[in-house]
Amino acid sequence: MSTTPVKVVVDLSKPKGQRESIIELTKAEIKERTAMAAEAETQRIADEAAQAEAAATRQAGLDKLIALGLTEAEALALTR
Amino acid sequence: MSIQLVQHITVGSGGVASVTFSAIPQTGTGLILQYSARKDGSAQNYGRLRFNSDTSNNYIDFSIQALGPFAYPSNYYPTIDFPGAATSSIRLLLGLSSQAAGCFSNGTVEVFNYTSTADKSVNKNIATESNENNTPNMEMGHGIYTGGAITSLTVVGVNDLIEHSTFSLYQIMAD
Repeated sequence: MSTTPVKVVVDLSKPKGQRESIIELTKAEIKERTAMAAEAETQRIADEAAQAEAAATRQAGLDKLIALGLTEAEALALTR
Repeated sequence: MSIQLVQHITVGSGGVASVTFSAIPQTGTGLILQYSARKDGSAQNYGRLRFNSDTSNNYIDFSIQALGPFAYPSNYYPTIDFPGAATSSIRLLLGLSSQAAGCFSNGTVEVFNYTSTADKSVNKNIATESNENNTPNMEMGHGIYTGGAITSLTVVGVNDLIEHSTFSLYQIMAD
């Protein structure tokens, strides 16, 4: 059984019912897909790091406001 | 004005790496792609939208994302991706690592004046589903395609688009 990834191509110039073709990816397409996966993983790591850093910064700010005497609700209201 | 369905497809068992609509009729004023992409596995699935199988840097992509799983207001931050330079595709969110396998990402892409050789405006609006935390994740954005009239449209996934994913292409007609 082939494990080569496939794509579906819908040729709209053909009559309905004859439009869809399942075609194996070319070597170039598989290579690009591998590169895309690496890029997506890099993006995911960067996104999560940015989210974590922003959350930590925000929490540090809230903590300082609370230390100044604001209630948590007051501090959160200021940051919305 | 009317909106006509050009073609709807449902991905069958085994999944596919990409979906292409080719030979798009040049009879409309705009295109709408509506998709519901089902996620395979745990990896991030950032897809790419391409026109005319064009892999040159003929695209500009500006996106705003708000990604979970975080509860507002503590940890919910949007990220904005500015188009620093032209790229080889427009990003489409097809699945997040925070989503369980089998969840869907639902998106709409609008392409204006696709038969024109002038630069085309592309809008995207995407939300992901999650069985785990009920947290909405969204991506919206605006892109530009500078590569000429659009005769084909392709969505490529980093990972497979699995069974039950659906893609519908609509054409906006002037009359």
